[in-house]
Amino acid sequence: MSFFEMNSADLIGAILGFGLTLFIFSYAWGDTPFFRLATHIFIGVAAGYATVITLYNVILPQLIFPLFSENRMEMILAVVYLLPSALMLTKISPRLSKLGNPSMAILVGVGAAAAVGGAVIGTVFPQVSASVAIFENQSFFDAGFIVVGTLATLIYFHFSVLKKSEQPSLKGQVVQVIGWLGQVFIAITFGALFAGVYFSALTALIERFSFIWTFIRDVLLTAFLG
Amino acid sequence: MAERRCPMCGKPNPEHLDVCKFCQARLTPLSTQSSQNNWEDESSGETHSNQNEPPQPGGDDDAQDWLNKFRSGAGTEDAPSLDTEPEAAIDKDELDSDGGDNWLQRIRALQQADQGNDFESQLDEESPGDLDASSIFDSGNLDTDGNQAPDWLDRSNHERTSNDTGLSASSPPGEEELPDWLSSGREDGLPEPQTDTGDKDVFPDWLTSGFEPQEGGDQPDAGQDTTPHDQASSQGEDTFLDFLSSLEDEAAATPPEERKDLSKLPQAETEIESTFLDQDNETLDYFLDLDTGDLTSGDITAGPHEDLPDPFQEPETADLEAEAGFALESPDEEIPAWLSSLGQDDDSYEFSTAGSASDSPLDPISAFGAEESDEPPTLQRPGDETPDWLRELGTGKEAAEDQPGGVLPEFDQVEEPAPKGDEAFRDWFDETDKSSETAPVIADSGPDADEMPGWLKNLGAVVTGTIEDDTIFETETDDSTPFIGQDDFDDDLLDVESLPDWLTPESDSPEASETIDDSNLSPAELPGWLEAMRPVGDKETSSTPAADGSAESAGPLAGLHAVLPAEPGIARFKKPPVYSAKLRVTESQLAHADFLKNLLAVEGKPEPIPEPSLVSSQRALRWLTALILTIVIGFVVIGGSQFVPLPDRGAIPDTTIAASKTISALPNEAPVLLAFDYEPGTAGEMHAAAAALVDHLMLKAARLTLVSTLPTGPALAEYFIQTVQSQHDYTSGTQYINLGYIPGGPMGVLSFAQIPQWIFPRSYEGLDPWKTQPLQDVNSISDFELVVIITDDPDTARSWIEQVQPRMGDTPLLAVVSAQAEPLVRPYYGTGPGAQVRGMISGLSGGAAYEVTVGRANLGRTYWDAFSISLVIAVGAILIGGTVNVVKFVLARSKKEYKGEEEE
Repeated sequence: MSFFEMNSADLIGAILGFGLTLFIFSYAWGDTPFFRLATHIFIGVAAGYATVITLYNVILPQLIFPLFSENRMEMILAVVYLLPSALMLTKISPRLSKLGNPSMAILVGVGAAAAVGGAVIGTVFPQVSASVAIFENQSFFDAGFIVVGTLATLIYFHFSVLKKSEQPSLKGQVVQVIGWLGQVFIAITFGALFAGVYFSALTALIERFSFIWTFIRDVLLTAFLG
Repeated sequence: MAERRCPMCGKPNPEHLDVCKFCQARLTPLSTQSSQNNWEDESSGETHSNQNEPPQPGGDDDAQDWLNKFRSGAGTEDAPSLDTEPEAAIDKDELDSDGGDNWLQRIRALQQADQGNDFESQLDEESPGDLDASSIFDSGNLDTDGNQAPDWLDRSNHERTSNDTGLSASSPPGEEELPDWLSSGREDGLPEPQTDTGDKDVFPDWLTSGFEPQEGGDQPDAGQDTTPHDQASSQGEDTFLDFLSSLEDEAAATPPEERKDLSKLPQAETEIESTFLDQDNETLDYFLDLDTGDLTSGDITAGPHEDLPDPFQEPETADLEAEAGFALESPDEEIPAWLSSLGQDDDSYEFSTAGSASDSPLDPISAFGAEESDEPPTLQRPGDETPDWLRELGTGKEAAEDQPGGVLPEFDQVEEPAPKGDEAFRDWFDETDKSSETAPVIADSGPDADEMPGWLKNLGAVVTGTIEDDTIFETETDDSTPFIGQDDFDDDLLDVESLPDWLTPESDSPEASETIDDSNLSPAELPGWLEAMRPVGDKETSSTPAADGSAESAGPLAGLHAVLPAEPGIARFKKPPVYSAKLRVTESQLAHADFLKNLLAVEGKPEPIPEPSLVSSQRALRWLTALILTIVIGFVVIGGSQFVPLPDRGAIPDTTIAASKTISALPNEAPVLLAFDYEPGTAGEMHAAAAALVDHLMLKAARLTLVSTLPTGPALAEYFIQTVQSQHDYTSGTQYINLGYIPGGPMGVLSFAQIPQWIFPRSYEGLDPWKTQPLQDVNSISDFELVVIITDDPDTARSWIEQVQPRMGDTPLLAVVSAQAEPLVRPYYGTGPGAQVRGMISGLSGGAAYEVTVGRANLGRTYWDAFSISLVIAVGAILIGGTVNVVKFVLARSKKEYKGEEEE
């Protein structure tokens, strides 16, 4: 999209994006004021935007508008939602914060229950069943490698030691060897995660360079060179 | 104009008046009998001091003589005493041994001389075994020795039985000698005792006979052989208390006004002035007071206890106990029955008011204590059952103290002179005399000397003389009396000034001893209670060393033996032990201490910070890396080169192939749910990874529903559809619907999976999403044909997998994740029907690979050259950096070895 095809919002957005990107790049010279300005702008805009999204996408359509709805059921539910939500606001005042405890208790309780239930149903049981059937779905080498890597990693985190009288506590030789093997697997995993972070950052850098070049090409060159 | 003082109010009245104009009390006696006049005059309070009358014969002089003799006898007896009662002070032994000093014998002799009647012989003949009243005065044995008692009492008792009146002036000589007050006690007879105590010997016979009750006013038959005493003895039921109770009943029967008046009068005075109906009570009071006086004298008797008769010893103990606030607990066998009977009813007397000890009828200091206290002290006992007669006694005493000629003082006034001699005794009485304005004495206004029995004349003279000197009955005995009330007990005893001279510490001084020696007086053997009160430094009192402890030498308890220490720990002051301040430290402890000291010294030393170089290696390396990447990527991006080939089909990951197959399997215009859960910071990567997949979906004309669990997600989703996939011209509400933000994290995702309509009643643009084309025929999460999660956070991916996937049924779940989240989401990937994630695209490489599968170039291809070259440069930088570190390590090690070799 060339400079002349862009509307004002796109143009302003492109200019702001270009400038803030350069401010962020200034971090190569250290913690520059441009970098700080860009960081603060990003945080402020993100918070403001989140507030607006919450207000217009959650509070108004789910709490306020149902109060004026013709559907009585929606009104009742809106009142039921609104009352504990209002009590949550009392957490602002230390003197009245106790009034928000019930709402907070409901949130914490329901959140914990949902997390635990989801973890058990969605992670523990499926992962256990997949590990049991790993030799059916994977090759023997792959399955064996996964089993060894899993066991070695778990054994590495086995901190119980043998202790004899008047001797320093020592792990068993087998445990020490398997633990060392698990440590290798953990290192590979951390390497992979670091590589993924590097890939993500490198992709973002490439995208930003591409954006800068696009802005220069489509906006600046077009604007100044026609 | 001659005045006559009212015996009741003490105010002067004209002589011609018979009744006091102030209190209407009778000023002249009712009877003109000589015997009564004697007592009437006594009770009228017309003392010599008041009327300036010359002393009666046998009055002061006789009293002085008697006192002198008595003092000399006491002095020879080595028993200096405060006893004001000569009877108590005179020892029986002394009486036996020294007949010339036997005052009683002298009295009897006088009586015989005056009356010419031998009472003794008659009485001895008539009632040889009876107890006589004189035995009390003689301090003899009340039970056995009747010879020592004045027989006139017994005789009078016997004669009264045969004489109804016994008060007439024309009575026989024997009757004339009988005191009228005793006869009057028999005049109307006394009520029959109501209770039987079974102890007939508790009363002296003269008391019993004198107050023999006669029921119904019947006089005892004169012709009867048995005397009233015999009747009482035969009945064996009379007790003194019961008798008093009966008296009380009679007193209650009298008119209140009369009783009121009588209660104010001294007993002796009332005896004369009141009617015969009252004579019984008054006579009783007289005897009670007489007894009290005896007790009083017994308390202050300085002689040894064993010398005193039991009736005088025991009340002393009782009085001491009463003064100390203890209950009266005296063995009955040690006290006369009539006293014990009093004590039986008054087991635990407590003094209700301060200084009220003097009001007890058993109190030896009643005569003085009553004057000390303003309030009429009363005795209280549990149950408030104090007999009225006791109260009357108290009031009577008060009246007696107020009125001249009281009976009580009559016995108190005859005090034993101080051991220092007559001068000390007079000094003591002078002090009391100074404090009194008037000194009405019974004996002063006594009867006519001619008509008075000789013994009584002498006795009255003695009393009169004493009272004239002392006038102790209207004095404030705070200073004069040797007795003190309950409240003043402790203080006054320690108050040296208020004590008599012989009790003061000066009396113990050598000078005092010399004085005593000069007067040929041996030191007194004080009673135990008095000895305990002696001041400090009394060596004589310490002659009885306390076996149970030493005497206090200081403080308010000084001079007392066996005093408990205040507190055991306080009194024992001990010098605190001296502990050595030197530490005992072993060598190992010293070594540890030195080690710790060195550690602290090292920590306290500032280490020199090396100055940073202008361009550090890290910053140069960082600048170098950034420069290389910028140049390479710049060139690639600016050049737009796409010379790096995309991954081969064989190199495409299975996850990508599975995702491509899943989308390829979707029907056209299938409802697909896209979750844009990534931050704007990773939007470049996520867009590049998801562009090929979303493009594939759009190629399939899928109806897209956009949601996000992040507030910024809806905007990114909208940007992605409108910008990245702008070539498809997807329209909101028709081909796709942006529902917006799902609040609550995992809970919101779960709620959305269960009831999506409740979470999104309105779309991101304010539309009713559930009536739009993209959500047509979609009521639950399982109604979507495909769910695609585009996220850079493994936790968000796990939330969708855990909360939504189990409720999706057969709907496949694909994940487009960032390269950094791929290792954590990969375990959920599977190919089977039960797999949670059926396809996955990871990062730019996954997007590029997916483009290969689809065969359409997209952002992956755009960024692939730059990504590939940058990746090579990064690998080269890692290799170069690793090589440099290895070289530096090898060089350092070799240098170290070289230095070691040189040193060797």
